[in-house]
Amino acid sequence: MKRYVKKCEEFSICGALGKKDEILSESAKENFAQFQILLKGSGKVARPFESNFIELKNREITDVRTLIGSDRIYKPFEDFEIYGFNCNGEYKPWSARKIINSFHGDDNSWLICFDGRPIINGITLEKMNYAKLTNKKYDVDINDSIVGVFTKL
Amino acid sequence: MKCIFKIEEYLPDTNQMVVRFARLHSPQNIDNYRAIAIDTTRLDFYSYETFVKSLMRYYGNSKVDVSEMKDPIVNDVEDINIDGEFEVRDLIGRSMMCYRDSDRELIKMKRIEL
Repeated sequence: MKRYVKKCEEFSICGALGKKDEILSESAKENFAQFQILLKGSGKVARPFESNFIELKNREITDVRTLIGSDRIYKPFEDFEIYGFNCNGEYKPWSARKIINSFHGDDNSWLICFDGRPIINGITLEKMNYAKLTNKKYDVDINDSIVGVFTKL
Repeated sequence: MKCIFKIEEYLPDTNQMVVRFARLHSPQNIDNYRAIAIDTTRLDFYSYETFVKSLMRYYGNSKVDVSEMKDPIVNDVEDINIDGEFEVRDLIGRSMMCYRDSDRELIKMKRIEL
């Protein structure tokens, strides 16, 4: 399994690329992901030894804030590529939404293109381009991309 | 990481030992690091090897980690401005602060303006 990380201005992105028979486990001290973005595969995440789990859907942004402060086990059903959105420093909750149409931005939000080549305000984004948003309209041609907007609450 | 320890006192009657810990490559003599009193009942006296392993596991590792944070910085170090356009020539001749590499690869993210 390959592991990835990148610290940006106000958030960090972690990631993992692995095979379906690889189980990922991390302690509460290691994993602060608030949202999971699954680009490839499907799977589930849970606290160890608990029957409740959160389903991780392909090409969706999944809220995993209820797992903050807990150890986690990730079980993939297929080969996978997954990313996690984390705030920097002490835990502060953010919100997240997957962008499918044009939207209005604000000063507390960041946009991240996880996959594909969407066109936003006339600019073609590449995988892992990101931008600080402002209080204005963003015209989006999503082109089957995976784009998330993350907002400090 | 290689470490060193120095036993200053052994008090078997009270199950105590006074020890100093440092990194092998510490910039200071081990005598400059604070000696701590430890409980020897947690140590494994079966052999030299088990003794050192238990000494470091229960006491040495954490002391060495803390001393690394407190050691004086003897170099005039600069931070890298990661937001700037990369030019390797700008780094020549300068002592730049960095972290030891982890097993995680860097995601090549790029900030853009929309």
